[in-house]
Formats: sequence, structure tokens, C-alpha cells
Amino acid sequence: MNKRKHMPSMTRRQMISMVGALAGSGASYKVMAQMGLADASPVMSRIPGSTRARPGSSVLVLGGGVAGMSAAIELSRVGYKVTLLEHNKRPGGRCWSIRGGDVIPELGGATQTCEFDKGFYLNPGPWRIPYDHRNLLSYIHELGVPLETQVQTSHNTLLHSTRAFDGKPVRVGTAGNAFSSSVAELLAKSTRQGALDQVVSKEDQEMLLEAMRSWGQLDADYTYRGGRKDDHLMPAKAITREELLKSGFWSQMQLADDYHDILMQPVGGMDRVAYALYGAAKDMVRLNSRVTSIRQDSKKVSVTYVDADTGANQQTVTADWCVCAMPLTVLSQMEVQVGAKIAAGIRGVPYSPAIKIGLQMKRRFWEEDDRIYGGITYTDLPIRQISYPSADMGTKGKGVLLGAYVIGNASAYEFTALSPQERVKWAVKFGSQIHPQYEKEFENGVAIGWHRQPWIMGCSAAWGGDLRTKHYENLRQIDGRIVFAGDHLSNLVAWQEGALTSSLDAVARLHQRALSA
Amino acid sequence: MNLIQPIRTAFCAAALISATLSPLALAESPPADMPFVPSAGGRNARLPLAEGKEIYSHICQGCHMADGRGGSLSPAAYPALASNAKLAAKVYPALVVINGQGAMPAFGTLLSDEQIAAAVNYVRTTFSNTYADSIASGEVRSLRPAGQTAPTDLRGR
Repeated sequence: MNKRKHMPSMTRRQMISMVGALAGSGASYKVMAQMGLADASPVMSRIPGSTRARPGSSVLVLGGGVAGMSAAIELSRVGYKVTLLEHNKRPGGRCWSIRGGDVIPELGGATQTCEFDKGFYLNPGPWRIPYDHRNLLSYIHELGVPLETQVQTSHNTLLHSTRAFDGKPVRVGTAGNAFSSSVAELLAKSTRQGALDQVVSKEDQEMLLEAMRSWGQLDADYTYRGGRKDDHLMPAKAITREELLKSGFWSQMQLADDYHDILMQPVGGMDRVAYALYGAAKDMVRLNSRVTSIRQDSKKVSVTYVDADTGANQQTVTADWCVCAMPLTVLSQMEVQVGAKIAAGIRGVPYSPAIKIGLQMKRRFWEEDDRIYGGITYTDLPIRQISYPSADMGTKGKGVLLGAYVIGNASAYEFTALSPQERVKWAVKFGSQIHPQYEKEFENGVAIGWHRQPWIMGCSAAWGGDLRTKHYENLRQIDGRIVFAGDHLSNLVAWQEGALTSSLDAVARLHQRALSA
Repeated sequence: MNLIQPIRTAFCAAALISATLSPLALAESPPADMPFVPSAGGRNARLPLAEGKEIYSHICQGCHMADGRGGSLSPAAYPALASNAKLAAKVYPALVVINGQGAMPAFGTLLSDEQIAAAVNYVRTTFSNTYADSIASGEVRSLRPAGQTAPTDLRGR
């Protein structure tokens, strides 16, 4: 083991992790709320229908992701004439699902064609919807997007460390039970030795001991000897406290416990959200339109755009106002006429790396062989996670796994640096250390490295250090006739909910400005 | 559960002390044929790579590509490092690596002074670049802004 002597100081995040690992489902959110960090998702009010736009006033919306489409819908509702320009041939931006036959070019020259069978998909961007993302859920309900359960926590998924238990995976439930049993055993021991006499009354100590025996499944003498041994994915003997601590599993258990046991997903792919918004915004949207410059004067905003495929057919559109919901990365590479502070913000906030890899398997071996039905396996391998599909459980035949999901760390850069084929190859290689069935059952895969996607150049805004202090409020200010919006301008970066809190706030402020102008 | 939760928390402090000292801090070089550092996926894990060539292929290549020619696909453009006159002043690429710029992330918290120097010296002497001078790790250190911290942890998204 590592011989480092000094003890690292505990960061707030580590403390939240720690509480999350031990206190169970939802604890992280609770602790964050107590620390004032979880007020990121207020329910935003929509512009009241009674406050109509001035007759004939118009807005250009740039970017057809979740933020842009919601801005277009809200502004048109109160009477603005809206035009929305979107670079891709599909609506949604990162709200995207990849299916068989989809052709995906990337920076560097590679092009993938997804070979999934009909009915399967990969959500390379957002993939799960927490119950408290209320603005997103309100659109989902309004627009009638069917949701289904996405299993987050399952006691039958695996924890895997190359440095523990000879690299053999352990069930989440096994490690979790060992953890609670160890805690219970120590606490019972402390109580019985009188260590808690100062803080727990004698009467309460009796109840505490009883609670620990029951919760930790301790023997009559308050010793932990348990651990089920009936499974080829479980260690042959019970996990000891020492092994458990050394394994580092407690950190992965925090991830497994970050949410309640289930979240939600749209039936059939996350892009069902994008297409539902598109259904409401369609008449306003011009797809395949690459914005090349954004200019403004005291009277209007003027935007030039070209056919995104050919670069030809340049056109100029003008409007009274503009909501710019394009990524900062893309804006940093084009002409945008804004004040110096916003210009500095556009150049100053880079995006984090992330990769996701979908793997089609000939057989749902995780269900048939390993009795894993949905949920996530965590590993210290570069793939970090394997997520099992929550849809079509128990069906015969094929399935698509999320074979790697890496975000914001060095492994994400490493995956991005490979060709799509190499990314898939390594995802299979690493995954087969956890599920040997991979080697026989793997059929095809698709791998998205977000920095290689030209219309976004990264996963999401990499706020950190003093970047928020420097640029965040500046970027949120209405500059002349333009307001910026998107998840990057929220406290829920990389969530669709963040795109909506930002967008609904931005259009409300713009509307006020337009009425008072 | 009111009784139990604070106690679980207290125990956890002990778990944290033992566990944070373990795996991810341990560094090891990957086998030559493996494009990954095994421990690099840990939160705030650093890459135990010393050679500029390795650092380039594990990180920079993601955007600047294996041949250093960058990439261009509407609407994006990643600049070429090959034959790039902006590399003439060694301080410039070092500052961009530390602080990021435009779409380029800041690598100041991921890479050490030595690693940044190695990567900068590598690109300034590769891809048809033949700059004779090199940057030392001490010079990189002097370019760092005060109090740079890692980007917000996005795990759990």
C-alpha cells in the first residue's frame, strides 16, 4: 500500500462523498442542501401570458438545444415573432440519441456509422432525469413525453477495483452490507466498552445496541461474521472491515448512492425530449444553419448564417432581440459583437472532456448469467462505469450497454485522443475484465468523445477556480439586444435542467427589457 | 434513522483517512501499447507521465490530433501545432496549457510544472517545429496564476 504519511485535508466534496457513502440514498443532496449548494434548481415561472410582446417585435434564437427551443417556445407564446437557427440537421444539441444507421463525423476526419439493431440507442449526452428537475419535468408532462424508470442503484451490480480482491468484482450489496455490518460492529463495541457513555444514555444504549445488531446483521455477541457466499461474483469468504477500507469501494459506493434508487428516462431515447420541444417550435426552427456572425446596433440584431454542410448560401436575418443559446466554445471561434466583459467570458470558459461508449451485445448476459437488471457497475478502470439497460428487461436476444462513461478527468482525454474504433476496442477490453462474456458477445459499438464533436467542442462548461467570479455574472447580463443562455449559465452545468433554468430566466429578463425599452 | 445517521458519519471519517491514502495516488506508467494510465480516472488523479511524447498522445492529441495538424470540421477548428509560428515564444504555449483559451481546457491543475515543460518542449521540437530553446519547469512555475483549482467535479451527471 501507499506509504504516504501526511493526511490530506478533507475537502467539502470529500465530506459530502463520505456522508453520501454511509448515510445512504439521497444523503448527498441533503447535505448539499444544508451546505447551501443545492438550491440550483428553482422552479422558474414562465412569462405570464397576460404580458404580451409589443406588436410586431421579433427575436432571433441561436442554438436549437433544450435552452434555445424552450426560449423560442416561451417567447412565441407571448407574441414575439421568433426565428431559431440550429447548426445540426436534427434538433436537440446534446439532447441526442444515436441509433443504427446514424452517421457521425468528428474532428480529426473519422466518421462512425452506428450499427445498432433497430430499437437500440445510446444517449451520448444527458441520459437520466432526477425527480427534482422540475422545469424539465414540467415540459415533459406538458408535451406528453412518456417516461420510464432508469435503475440507478441495484444491489446486484458490481464494484470493481484492479487493486482489491484480486481484481474480482464484488456485488454492491455485498460491499454495502459489509460496510454497514462493520460500522455496526464497531459502534456496538464502542457502546459496550462505555465509549459513548457521555453522549448516549444507558437506556438509549440498549436500543442502539439492538439497532446495530439488527442493521448490521451481527451475531449474538455483536460480532460481524456474515456475508453471503452463494454467488460466483462474490468473494468466497465474508469481506473484512480491513479489506473493505483498503478497497476504496466506499468512494464508489457514494456514486452508487448519489441518487435515489431510480431516476427516469424517456422511453426510446433522450432525444424524445428534443423532438417534443421541436414539435412545439418547428415552425420557427431552421436546421442545418451555421451562424457565422452576430452583430447589433441600437435598433436591431443582425445574424449571418450559411448552409452548415456546404458553407454556401449566406443569408442575413435581423430581429429586435436575440437569445444566444450556442456553446461558448463555438462562439469563441466566430464574430460576436458584444462588450469586452462578455467577449472575455466567451473566450475564458473552456469545456470539460467526456466520453460515452455504447456496446451492442448478442445476448443480455448480465441478466441471463449475472442476474443484473439495470443499474450501474463502478470500476477503477478507465471506463469507470458500465450501465445496464433499464428498458426491455428480460427480453431474449441483444442489448446495448453503456460500456464507458468518463467525464471531466484524465481518462476522458485519453479516450478522446483515440480513434472511434480504438475507443470501442478498449472499452471491450476493459469491460471483459469485469464481464468475461464481452469477448464472445460483443457485436459493435459507437463512441462519442465530446471534444471531437465540432458543434460543441467539449461536454460542458468547465467552471472552476475563480472563473465563475470572473465571468458568470457578466455572461448573464443583457448586452444591448442580446442575452446568453444555456446550461453553462446555470448552477446545473451539464444537466438539461440547467439549460432550462437559464433559458427561462433569460427570456423573462429579455421580455422585461423589451417592454421597457 | 435519526439516531444512526450521525454515527455513520463519524465512522466514515475513519474510512476516509484509510481509503484516501490508497490506490489513486499510486502512480505507474502504462505499458507501451496501452493508451491509458490505469489510475487516471480517479477524481483529480494526475497522469504519471514524464515524456512529452506520452503526455501529447494521452491528452493533447484529443484535439490537436496525432499528426499535430489539428482539426477542422464546420463550425469548429482546432489549431495545428505543426509549423505553428505562435510557438516561437516558448512562454506562449506554456501559458495556453496552464490557463486554457477558447475551447481549450486549462491543464494547470492536471499537469505538473515538469509535465507542462515536457509537453511544450515536445511540440516545439516535433511536427516540423525546430525551435532550439526549451522551457524549464521553474519557468513554468513562474507563469502559474495564484490559486488555480481544478474544474468542478462533474461525476454524477
